[in-house]
Amino acid sequence: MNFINETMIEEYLSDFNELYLNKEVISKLKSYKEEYVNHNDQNTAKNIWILEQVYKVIAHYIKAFRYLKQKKHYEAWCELDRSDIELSFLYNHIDRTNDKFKLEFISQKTKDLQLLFPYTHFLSREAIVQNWKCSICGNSITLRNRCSHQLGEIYNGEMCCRIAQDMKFEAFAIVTDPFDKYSVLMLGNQEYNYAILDRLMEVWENPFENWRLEKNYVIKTEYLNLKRNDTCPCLSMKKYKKCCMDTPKVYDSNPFYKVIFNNKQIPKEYNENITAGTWKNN
Amino acid sequence: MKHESDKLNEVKVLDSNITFEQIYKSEYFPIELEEELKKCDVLLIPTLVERNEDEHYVFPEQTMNFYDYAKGFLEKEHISADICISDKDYKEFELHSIVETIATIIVNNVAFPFTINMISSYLYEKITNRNNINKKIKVNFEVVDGKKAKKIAYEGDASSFKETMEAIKIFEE
Repeated sequence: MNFINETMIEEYLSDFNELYLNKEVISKLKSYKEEYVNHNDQNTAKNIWILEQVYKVIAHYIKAFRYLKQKKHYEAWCELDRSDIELSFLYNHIDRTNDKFKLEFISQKTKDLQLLFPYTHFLSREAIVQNWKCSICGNSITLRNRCSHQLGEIYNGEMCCRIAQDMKFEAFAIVTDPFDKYSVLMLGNQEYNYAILDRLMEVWENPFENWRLEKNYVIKTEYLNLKRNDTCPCLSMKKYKKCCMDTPKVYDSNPFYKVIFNNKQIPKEYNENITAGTWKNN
Repeated sequence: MKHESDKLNEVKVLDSNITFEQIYKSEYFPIELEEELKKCDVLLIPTLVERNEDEHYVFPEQTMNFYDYAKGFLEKEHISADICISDKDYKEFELHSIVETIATIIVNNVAFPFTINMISSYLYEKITNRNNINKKIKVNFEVVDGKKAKKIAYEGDASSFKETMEAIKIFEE
């Protein structure tokens, strides 16, 4: 495809539903942006930054899909996280009502896929940070002395960030719901069980084909068939109705998921339930 | 400061003896800013953390952004707010945590409802920016009313913060 202007690229990205993006898009956008910045056309330069971000979100997402097809699960996990991060930079700058670039779809699929990964524990770092500078002008930023650039805003087609100058690592914590999702704990003698994802990938043919995830919880055995005035099984000695009734405590903490494809005939062998633990051979 | 939270919108109200006067005498109080800070009804104050045998007065990550937001929002309500540290001593403690910790705030009781509104509005923007309705937060207040003081600690969903905080009574007669 020969792109002659940014409008063509916008249409290309908005109609895109394939497995590989045209790599020419990024270099074209860069050259258009340079031109608009040279003419100090800040609005158009910002619109091109938006297209660059859309490209990145889609590129990471479809790369994750391809990795999942190749059973490169951790690589796919990192790509999904990157897609989500790039998307978060965009949210302040786009109209989300019409979902022109299918970004809401990608965001939802990313969240759904993350739920199907077996990862449960991650590392979270602790650091003390001091002294920052502005990514746009390079000036030092302190509490009461700033440049005029606003964090997250777009200047000359680039997003304003803070660059930490002095960072001292202090500790790691082991957590279950991290901000840095790439920091998955890998155990030398154990292999993660990706059976659920692998089953999905046998049926899911295109990254833009829709499916939805139904999340269900099972009531714990001790709470089954209880009456309101029965003693609560949690050993509180209170009545069930005044204790755990209608609270999340009655459900098993591990949900089970059902993947539902609309308007698609799923072969019978893929419709059987899978019970998959975190680790293989457990 | 914590990395994670499994709390379901928990709010604790405890007796406290912290006053603005004590803050003015603290070792982190910047004397060069004394005049401005003593006029404030809302002050962000640091937390002392100990790591690897060193002690640091720190603020949660992104406090600088929160400080800008708080100052701007409260100024419109004619409430003066500031942060109780000098520029050179300002440090952020990054946990890269899914739980967003907001800097501890000492506030005059009259300014407390405005502070709740301000935090609620700040959180709303955060939730919509990252499309994260399940965001968890942790925030501590020291609320001062004359000679009485209460410590209020909220931990739970960002989306329930305002509703939960508005339901509590702090200085019951």
